[in-house]
Amino acid sequence: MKKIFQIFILLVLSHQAIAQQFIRIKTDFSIKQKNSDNTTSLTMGTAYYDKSTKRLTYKISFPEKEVWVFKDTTMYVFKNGKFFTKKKSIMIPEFSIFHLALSNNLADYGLKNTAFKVDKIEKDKGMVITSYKPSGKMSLGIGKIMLSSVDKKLNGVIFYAPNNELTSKIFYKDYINSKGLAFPTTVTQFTYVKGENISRTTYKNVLVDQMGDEEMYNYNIKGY
Amino acid sequence: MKKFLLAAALVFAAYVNNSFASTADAFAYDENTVSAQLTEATQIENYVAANGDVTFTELQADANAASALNLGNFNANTASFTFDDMNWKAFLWGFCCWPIGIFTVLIKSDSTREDKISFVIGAAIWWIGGILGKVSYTP
Repeated sequence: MKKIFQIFILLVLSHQAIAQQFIRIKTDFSIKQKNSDNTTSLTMGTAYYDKSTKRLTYKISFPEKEVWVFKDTTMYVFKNGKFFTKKKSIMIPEFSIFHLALSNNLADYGLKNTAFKVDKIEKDKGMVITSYKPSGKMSLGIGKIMLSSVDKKLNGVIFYAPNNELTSKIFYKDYINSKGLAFPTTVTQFTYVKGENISRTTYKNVLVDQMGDEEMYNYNIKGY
Repeated sequence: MKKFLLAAALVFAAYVNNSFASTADAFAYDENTVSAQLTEATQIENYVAANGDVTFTELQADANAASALNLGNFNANTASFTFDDMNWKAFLWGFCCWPIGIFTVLIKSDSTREDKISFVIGAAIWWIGGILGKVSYTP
């Protein structure tokens, strides 16, 4: 009887572990910006990301209709359904908020197991605040990073220059839960270097592990 | 005496203020300020959402939109980074705000070469940091 109970527990746990493996995310997004030169920017569209293929596709509707596909180190641009250009980019999709979220790494901003080391952990006003310091030569170009989390969800990230000057803040809020995946639908960033820039990204209609839209998740980039 | 008391009060006030400043306060921001700063972009966003899939080019040609919205400040290229040497803003976009940064710096046609280089360096440091960490973490 004891063995049967143990097997049952193992089955439940393994099922839960499998259930936490997320593969795909689709979301509408808008990025509003107020720049230090007093100009305004707005980008709207739909993002599709598949963790298994590590392909990120942006179907942009505003300011102009374009499709951007990121795969490995290449970005492909399509206009009116036709290939327009491609560029080399080291901005591989594994760096995106989508990959971090699907991989359950958003809570620590992906800093765990990187060259950043935990310097201090404290609790203050309902937040758990973790300070990371870059190790080795990284410390010449980048200062500490502070992460705050509330209810084990990433709440804010603060970046400092090596001279301890505040350079940027990012805040994550309005988390939704889609199929067990917590995802922030409002991301606000302040950049303080040479004037203040404010950016707010809003995600709507977040779908996790959806079926369909194969043509977007696997946008045809063959031969380009 | 009055001056002395005033000075003492100011020093005390400053001390009290510092005493109550906490690490968590660094994670506070004024939502009203953000909303106010993004008012123009929000108005454009609402107009676009209400009027279907319109592009900025179509918006400019639309007399109603032109009168209802302030399109004069709109930067369709979103490339506001025009620094001469190392562009720290572009660097930071690359370092800490991918994929948002990609919309602002890397691929816009009128971004300067320095902007793009700075952005890529920022992203590269992030990437290298990850790689270094993984290498050092591997048993």
